[in-house]
Amino acid sequence: MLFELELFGIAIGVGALGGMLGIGGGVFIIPILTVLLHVPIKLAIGASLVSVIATSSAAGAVYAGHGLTHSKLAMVLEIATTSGAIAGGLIATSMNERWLEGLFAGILIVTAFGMGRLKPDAESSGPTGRLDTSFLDPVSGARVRYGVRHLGIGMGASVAAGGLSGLLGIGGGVIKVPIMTLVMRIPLKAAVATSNFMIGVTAGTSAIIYFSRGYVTPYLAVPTALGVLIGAGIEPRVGRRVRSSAVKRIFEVVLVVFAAQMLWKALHG
Amino acid sequence: MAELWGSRPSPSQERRRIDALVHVVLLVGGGAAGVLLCGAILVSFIERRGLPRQADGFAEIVRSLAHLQPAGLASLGLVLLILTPVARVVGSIVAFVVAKDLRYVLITSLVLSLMIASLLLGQG
Repeated sequence: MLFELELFGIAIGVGALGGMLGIGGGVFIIPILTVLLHVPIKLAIGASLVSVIATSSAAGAVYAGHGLTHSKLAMVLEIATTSGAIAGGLIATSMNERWLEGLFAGILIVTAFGMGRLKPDAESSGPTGRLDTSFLDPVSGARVRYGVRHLGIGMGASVAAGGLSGLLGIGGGVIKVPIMTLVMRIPLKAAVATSNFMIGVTAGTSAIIYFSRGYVTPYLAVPTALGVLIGAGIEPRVGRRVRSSAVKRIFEVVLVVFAAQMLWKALHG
Repeated sequence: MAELWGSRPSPSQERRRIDALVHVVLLVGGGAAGVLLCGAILVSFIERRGLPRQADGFAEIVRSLAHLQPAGLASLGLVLLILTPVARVVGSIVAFVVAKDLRYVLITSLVLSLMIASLLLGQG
């Protein structure tokens, strides 16, 4: 019971931290579970996927009212992410744990160096004649009209994002949001809301595989999902001012340390 | 919630009504999952033992529920949570059907069939 409470507390911190840094909690919760708490990585991934679904559903409930989610674009890209998620989930559940740990070390490095590089004012394209839509900006009150560019590249990136989600139990927003803003040229607010909607469906698809194969265990998944959800919920109240680059630098170092530990675990067991 | 009621719906109003309905379904599904998971923690805390190490299959969930055991609560909560995105996709299909948007009915149905495929492939 103490272990569950401890995990619950850690998960609250991770949920708040993930929201604060603008990245999913999975990149923190999986190394904490495997390196610090000595949980087998496939069980850690199962718990992470469940918490990804929980936060995506909660965020969806909030975003839905704003009409920020481009649900048509989301559905088109979901064909790619769910395909990737199935492949990733099937491969991961029958893969050697050490390979997964090595792969995870790699994604930690990518996240550490990608963090904070995304400019919120990336130009959106305006209507393009493909999947054109609009939303009311909640801050400025203006109606923002936009379309989609380079759908093919977006589909390719979505297969990769879905594959990573299934393989490693992360949301994949770290790939999708930059691709949507920088390549497909849709506004950041719409990209984040749409990515959040997709993350739940993608994680749900691979979570079904992990659950069927016994890698979603209540003693890990329940405290993790509830904790991350609560943490992500309190973050908007406490985290708004903590966005300085110094804080981000500290957590970049934390991610790199985690990566080194995961790599060590992969090589030495 | 107010969008659920009203008179003389235009096509876009109709669409928004369905969106609102899906929204409510999501809140109820997610909320129920949350309550079940909290209940599971509470029961295991009162009984002074940890949460179960292994989740139940569907048949076992029904059996455990009949005996009010924490294993059933935790597993049922997890299954509900995992199936919430599936419900969301089903809701989107209904929304596109109402909007008479055949192309997106097909696209969304393809996504749903991929999710069902993962259920079948996961068993193997």
